[in-house]
Amino acid sequence: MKEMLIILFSAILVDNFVLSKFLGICPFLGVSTNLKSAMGMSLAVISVIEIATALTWPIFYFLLEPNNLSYMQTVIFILVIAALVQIIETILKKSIPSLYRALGVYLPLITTNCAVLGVTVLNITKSYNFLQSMVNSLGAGVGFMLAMFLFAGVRSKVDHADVPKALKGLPITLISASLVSLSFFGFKGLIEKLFA
Amino acid sequence: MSPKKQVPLIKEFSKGIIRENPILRLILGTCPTLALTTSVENGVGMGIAATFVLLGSNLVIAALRKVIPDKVRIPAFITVIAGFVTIVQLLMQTYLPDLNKALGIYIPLITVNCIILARAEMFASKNTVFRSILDALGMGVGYTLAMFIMSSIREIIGNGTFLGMAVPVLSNSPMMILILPPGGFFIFGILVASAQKISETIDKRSGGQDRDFCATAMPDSPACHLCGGCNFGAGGLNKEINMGLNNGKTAGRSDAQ
Amino acid sequence: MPAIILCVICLVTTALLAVTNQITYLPRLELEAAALKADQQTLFPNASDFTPVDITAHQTKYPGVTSALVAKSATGVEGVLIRTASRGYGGDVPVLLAFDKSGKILRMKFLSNDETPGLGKKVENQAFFGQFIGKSTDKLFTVKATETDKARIDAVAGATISSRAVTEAINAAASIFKLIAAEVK
Repeated sequence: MKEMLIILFSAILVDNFVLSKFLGICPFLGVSTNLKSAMGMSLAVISVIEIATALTWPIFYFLLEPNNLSYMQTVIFILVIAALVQIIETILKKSIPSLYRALGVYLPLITTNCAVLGVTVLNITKSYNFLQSMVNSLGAGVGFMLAMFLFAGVRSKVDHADVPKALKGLPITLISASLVSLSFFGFKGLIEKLFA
Repeated sequence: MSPKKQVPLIKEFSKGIIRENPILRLILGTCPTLALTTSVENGVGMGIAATFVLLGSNLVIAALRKVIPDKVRIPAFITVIAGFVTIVQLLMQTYLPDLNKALGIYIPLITVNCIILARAEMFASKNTVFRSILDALGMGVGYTLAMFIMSSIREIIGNGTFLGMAVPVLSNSPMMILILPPGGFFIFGILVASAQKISETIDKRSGGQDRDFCATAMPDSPACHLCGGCNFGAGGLNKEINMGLNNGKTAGRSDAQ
Repeated sequence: MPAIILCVICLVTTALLAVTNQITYLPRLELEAAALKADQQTLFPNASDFTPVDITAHQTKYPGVTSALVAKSATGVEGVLIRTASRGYGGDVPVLLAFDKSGKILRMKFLSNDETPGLGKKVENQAFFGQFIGKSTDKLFTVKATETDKARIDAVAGATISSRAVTEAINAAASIFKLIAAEVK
């Protein structure tokens, strides 16, 4: 239990997937301009990450590794993720159109989201068992959501500020991101104090 | 769509270096840029690995462009790209094990590096093999150059070393923050601002040349959907999401600006 | 028709990858063997022969210890090379230890781990691991001040989890050493 909490909290706070591991930067910079889109994107990411982990972990340990096919990991994983996103999109469109209207537009972006492929590969690299992988992926998704929300708030403030011309647009966004990332450094001692 | 001018061959190569630099101008493939530029060796290593994959995928996709059916275009591209990434992975595990360990999970992540998918969709699937090779080389050089610049700054000032060798004055008390994540974002922001300025100056001097970025974008391009659109795409999926448009049908350069 | 072409592309890709894997397989194995040999040389510079000791019976109690090799040189048994690991902050922290015949720690080497650079990674500095070198393992080690029956080790400031992982890994190795000491002759 303690180990699960350590995995969860380090993925969310200490080693945040976006601000520390730099996975999922593209949507982080692209879609975090307002809270509503941040929310939609994060929910979509969390769902896809969990389902993707639930699929890729068994595929690796029951299909690829026993047959000495571990070199096919990258190809299989990304195709599974791409197919998964496609299937989810189709299912949502047909059965829950309201959800599709709300979240559907974010789904294609998730295929190329480094965080999704990244966390599925990381779970294998770190030799996590199934439960640990699911927890790690949940932490990744929630960490992503946390980073998106915080950043959406920061960006809406920056929008109203008087930014020097050269820094307008992406540069000031990146500099704000650096400050948010810096603030997460405060969590570095958290795991130690809570669990050690 | 404007009639396609026959772009001079040298331009196919050079556009990727400054004007359309994939990291600093198109803002694609930012994840490894921020993570791996803590040392010049890692940054350039990644640049070369990605260039290799880009070259391979552009070549194969351009060669097969008349054969791949439109409907399964994206899965086909992904398969080809993932294939080349795995080849690079295996080769690096065998011949460059230290670099392989240093780059870690970012090697498989080259698969979802939008630079490669975007070039496959925007260029290789519509141009000859030769031009695609030039495009790949140009983009690759631009990518590696940007990685080199960023990692030099971060390593020299943040760690006091260059390629592992200590630098005279700075190695005494390096500014460690630059090696850490916040430093990465910060330097990236500064570089993007500089690249913007340099690009504007070049454009002004050459009399406001036609910017063909994503000009080959088709509205409805699935690759643009996947990548959110590059920095120039006056459209791009990111823009629509932020403007609250949920039909997501236009992508890439939107002339309606 | 489109699906067929996609399948063909997938199959061709898989075939190419299988070929690449085959070509690089042997070189990769050789690389691993060479790395292992290099590690062995670092830890026991004079030894020429490394014989594995069967520790399967003890691995249920000490799952982190993966291998034990008796290092012999021309003059006889030099000691035991033990590979051990314990879960730190970013996953396992594997360590190679060279014990001499009496159980004293001669040298140690860190294998690759995912500890935080600037914090947990500092366990790889002489300032931390140097505390173990030259020590006998009659008493186990601890980073906690409260455990007075063990030899006290100063943890790296702010990296208790990583420090503890290394300490526990070394303790497990020391315990295994004691269990197999009889066979080390």
